Amino acid sequence: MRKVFIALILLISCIGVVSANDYMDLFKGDNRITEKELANIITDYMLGNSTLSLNEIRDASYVYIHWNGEPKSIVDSANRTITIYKPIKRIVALHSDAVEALVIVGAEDKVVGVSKYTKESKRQFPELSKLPSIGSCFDPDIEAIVSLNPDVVISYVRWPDPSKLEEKFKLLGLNITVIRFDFYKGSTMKEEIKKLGYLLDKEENASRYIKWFEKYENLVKSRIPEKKVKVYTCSKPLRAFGEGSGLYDLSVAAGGDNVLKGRKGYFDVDPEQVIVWAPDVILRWSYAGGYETDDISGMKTDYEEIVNQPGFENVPAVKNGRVYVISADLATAPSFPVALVTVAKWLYPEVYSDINPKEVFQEYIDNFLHINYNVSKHGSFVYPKW
Amino acid sequence: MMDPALLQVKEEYEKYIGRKILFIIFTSVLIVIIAGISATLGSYPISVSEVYSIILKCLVSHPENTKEAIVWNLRMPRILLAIIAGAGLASSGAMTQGILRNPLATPYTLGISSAAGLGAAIAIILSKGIFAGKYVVIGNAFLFSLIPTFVILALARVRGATPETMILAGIAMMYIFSAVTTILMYFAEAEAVKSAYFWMVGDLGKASWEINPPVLASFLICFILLMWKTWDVNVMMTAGDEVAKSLGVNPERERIFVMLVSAFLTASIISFTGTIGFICLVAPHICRMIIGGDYRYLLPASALFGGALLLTCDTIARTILAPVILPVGVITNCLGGPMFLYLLIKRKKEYW
Repeated sequence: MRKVFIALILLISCIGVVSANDYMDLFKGDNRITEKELANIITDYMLGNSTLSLNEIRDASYVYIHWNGEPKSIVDSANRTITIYKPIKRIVALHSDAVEALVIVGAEDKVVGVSKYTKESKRQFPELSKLPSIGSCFDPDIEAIVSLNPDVVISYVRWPDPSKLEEKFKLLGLNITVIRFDFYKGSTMKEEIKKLGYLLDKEENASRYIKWFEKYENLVKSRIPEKKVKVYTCSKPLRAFGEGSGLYDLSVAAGGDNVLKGRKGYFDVDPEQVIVWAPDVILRWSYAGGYETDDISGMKTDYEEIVNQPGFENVPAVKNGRVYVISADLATAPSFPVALVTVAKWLYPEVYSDINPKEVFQEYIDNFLHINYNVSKHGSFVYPKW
Repeated sequence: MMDPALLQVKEEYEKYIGRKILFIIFTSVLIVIIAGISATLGSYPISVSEVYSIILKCLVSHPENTKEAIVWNLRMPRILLAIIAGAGLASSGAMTQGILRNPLATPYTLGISSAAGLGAAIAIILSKGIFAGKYVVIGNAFLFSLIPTFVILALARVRGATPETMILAGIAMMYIFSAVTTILMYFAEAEAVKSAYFWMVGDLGKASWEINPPVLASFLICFILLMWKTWDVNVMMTAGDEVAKSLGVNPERERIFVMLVSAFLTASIISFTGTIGFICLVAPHICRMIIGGDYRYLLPASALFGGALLLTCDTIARTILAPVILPVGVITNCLGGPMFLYLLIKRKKEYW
């Protein structure tokens, strides 16, 4: 009996040596799929003694032909090396900015799950908002993600905590790759889109977007005047958005001289201090607008709160009617360049008389989001209205 | 032959005890039932019978496929952590109320949660990237949460460990730590502030077979130590410090001992889960209304009831709006609050 058992073990281990019995074995040693390896697994399959599925053989052929047999590697924005060995077919996008990026690179057909926020964005993502929800991007439902059987999950760099995402997949013994990309910061946007395009074999679309991005980025850079206007950035009249906040960075990139320079983060300020700073322009962040609502009243209320703030009547920005409200939906998303020219034009209207930010936005929507959406008629993104 | 009057007293006492034991048995059964229901609920499609056969199978072997791993590595640790955390918070709440003779006292009144929050915030803000600081955050939250306890201890040496001193010192500390956290947030980058806020809200999403054992061990040790002191707390609650002294109980020493144990227990729970409020206040009160203030029964009853309550709340939190997971604190407040008010109206006599 024991002899039979040992013989059986020997036999099984011999089979293992003969040919790759696991997809990942193909990459063993040389880290690439060679012509010989591919030929072997195909003939094995035809002979009916392959342990690889037809899908895996298809993937191997794809990698051999399109990727030169090599895996693809990138460093994500959480600074981790991400290597993929198979073409990505199923993606769960934990946040709407990632959904927008996936639409831009033309990979919307690969998305299989979205967050509850994307589900509410029926106008911006008419098709993808119908996909199953995985809950909130800050505390996603792991079971819901797993039941969608994704290859890749894209999440914010900072949230959710790894103990609620990567470590859970590890506990479940699942080979789901988590890629952390923000897609809401102007500073890392181009790099992230480029890497996403590379991973999904959509380099062309990605570079088309990056070219468009750079066009406006360079335009604004080249037009920053010698004499800058003073800007104050806030969410409520006295709630300042300092260095490191999206709005602060936007105001500086657009060529403003922000009065909050040297002060980090979000904080309350003394109204008298704002009067002393005497900003020429006040920019306010608003969560009221966006693609989904045509109602501008929320942003109007935000605007009026600043204009009517006691004491602000002496601030040049209020005196000269240069208070502006911008929607977070526009500025913290891949539509960042639109926000950039919008703010630049608010700061220096005479310098940008040839540019119409609304047209730039329409250009973005038509060329990259591919939706039937007219910004002259729909949405509320800025106040006063453009 | 026994005196009939004495016999009647004995019978009454047995009835009195019987009700308490019945309540404890009832809550234990309740926990098992709720856990059984909770295990079957989740977004991944697994049938009820499958869930139970997986649990039985995994008691002796490791999970082999995704379904088994979901039940065994995802749902079970979360259920167990909910029971342990609920039991731990409720026990330390019950004992703190007893030694401080104050119905509003909880370990959080002693500044533990705000101190833990500061510790976590410091670790989150200073750590480079989210992958570096996993144990740093837990460790720092734990260390900081013990600071208020030691400050109160030092204060007690100078001013004596009276309930008033301890509560007022605890509340002062709570304000100090919250203020320092707020100041710190002003200098931190926006994303770290958001992460720190998420930590403070508190949830059971971090549960795993890796972090449950230390929490369980800490609970068991502290619970036994607290059980050992229930007689003394009974005396202190009913007789007051002076009489307690004449009965051979040193109230100041007992008070400090119980406070240390409760603080340690609370700290070891919330450094893993973040601040989960209300359980430590409401579970002991509900039990006290039902079975009275005898700590020998009140402590285990509170622990069991706290476990059942937190488990129920967490199950609701993760399933009611699934796949959206609500913070468990929201549900504890919504469920525990009205339950508390109802009992407050229904109670027949002064229970405190």
